[in-house]
Amino acid sequence: MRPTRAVPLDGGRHDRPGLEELLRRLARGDRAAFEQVYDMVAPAVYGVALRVLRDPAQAEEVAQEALIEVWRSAARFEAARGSGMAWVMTIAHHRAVDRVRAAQAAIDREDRVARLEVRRPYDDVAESVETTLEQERLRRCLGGLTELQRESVTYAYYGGYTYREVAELLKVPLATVKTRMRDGLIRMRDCLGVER
Amino acid sequence: MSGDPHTLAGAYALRAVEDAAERQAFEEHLSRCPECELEARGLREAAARLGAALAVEPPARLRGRVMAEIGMVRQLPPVPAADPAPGSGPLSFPVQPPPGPGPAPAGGANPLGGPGFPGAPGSLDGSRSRGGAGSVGGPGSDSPGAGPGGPAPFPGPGQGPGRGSGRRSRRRAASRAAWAPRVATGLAAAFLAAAVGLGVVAVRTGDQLDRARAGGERLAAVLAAPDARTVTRTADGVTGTLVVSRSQGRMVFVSAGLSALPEGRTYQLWRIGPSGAVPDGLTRPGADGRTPPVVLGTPGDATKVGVTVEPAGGSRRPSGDPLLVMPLPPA
Repeated sequence: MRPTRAVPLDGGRHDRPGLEELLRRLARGDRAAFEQVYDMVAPAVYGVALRVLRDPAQAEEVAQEALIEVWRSAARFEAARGSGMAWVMTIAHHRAVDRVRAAQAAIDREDRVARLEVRRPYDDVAESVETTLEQERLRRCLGGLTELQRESVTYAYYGGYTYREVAELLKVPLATVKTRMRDGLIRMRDCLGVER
Repeated sequence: MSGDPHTLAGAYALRAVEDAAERQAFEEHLSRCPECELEARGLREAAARLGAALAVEPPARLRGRVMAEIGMVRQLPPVPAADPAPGSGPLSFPVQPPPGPGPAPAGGANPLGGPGFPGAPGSLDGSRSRGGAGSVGGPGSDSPGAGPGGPAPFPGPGQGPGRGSGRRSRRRAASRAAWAPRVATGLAAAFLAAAVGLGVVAVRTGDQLDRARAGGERLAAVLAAPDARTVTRTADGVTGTLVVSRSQGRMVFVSAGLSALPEGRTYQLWRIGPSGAVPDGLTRPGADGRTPPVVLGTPGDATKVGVTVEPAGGSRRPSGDPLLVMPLPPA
């Protein structure tokens, strides 16, 4: 197992078996390992669901679904392909985003764009990030992006918008949004010190 | 998709590609382009950090719900080794259709991802068709009862399919000891699910049948309780699973691997606490070595549940050492 970075995703539990190892045990039906996995990831899972859905009840449901999915598909996790936390967070984020999209599919498009403008994901992040080092670092890294990069990345990730919606919102061409999402995220990767 | 598909890497990592065809095209692109795959991995890690940094302690009840529910969810097997390694779907992450519709992304599309990397939502959603997130652990104690009829992942209720898969699993377990606990747990989970679905279990002896019938509702209530906790222990090839709900004042026991007993003998369960062993339910395994779910009495101050062999009808005190002792989860 690879050691994690200075500010690890698992909240600093270096002295315990890492998440990747625990996921391997999970895959063998080890419930005790799942309890540990729960402790490591549940706050992040719930946090991302809450951020995207903005509704505690729905966030809790989505977190529950995502955590069950972690248990269910642990055997499909491959450490060689990425960190355990990224795997877990991908599950959680996808579920949250899919839920938001399903809810919004019902809403008429204009209304939707109107809502888009109300939601300013980055502002939230900026406001709420005072507690942990990791949040501080996130804020700093987001602050290092150009405005367009930052908006593209945060509207997509926290707002659950597709790149088409983001383009519409920011009134920039599709190709520009795609590019900004990519180079913005590359910059975040480098700033956050993400491995590989 | 026009132009360089690779510009989609950022949107892909952010889950901002909305159209499944475009997403799939991008995944194919990744499978042919190792550097792109590498970049995509890094971007995925970065995206994960965006979320992980905003961790918020979830409500305490979530834990109980999740722990209770995993007892009813069958785990996916690893991706078959036969899968073409590098190619097909390096990062193909949960290509999950928006809630509701369609099946998971085409079956074998991606070894890592495809059915498995988080994905395969189809079947999970199937298993959750009993009412979505709230149901298990939700207040409606009868909700699980509604479920397992539908959920594909479990062997059907009754003995038919269940037994088949049990045999298969047993063979595998025999051939590969390391898997035993896991297989057994899977069996227990499947069994619980089947039992809850019917509310009745096909059992050998009359008293068990009555017990199972009477226990159907209580069983469902225990399994669905927000505070339900599960313990699994294995000893000498016997795996017992205990689901404890203190709010319901009940426990449910299932097991796999108990050997058949001669006429006139039965397995008996005991709640063991500071005041000694309190006799509880009797049970006998079916031909496949599994016992149906038995609803036990209130956990009270018991700290363990044990299993012994007793004369038919049960004893007031354990007549021998327990074959299996399971600690109760702390209150």
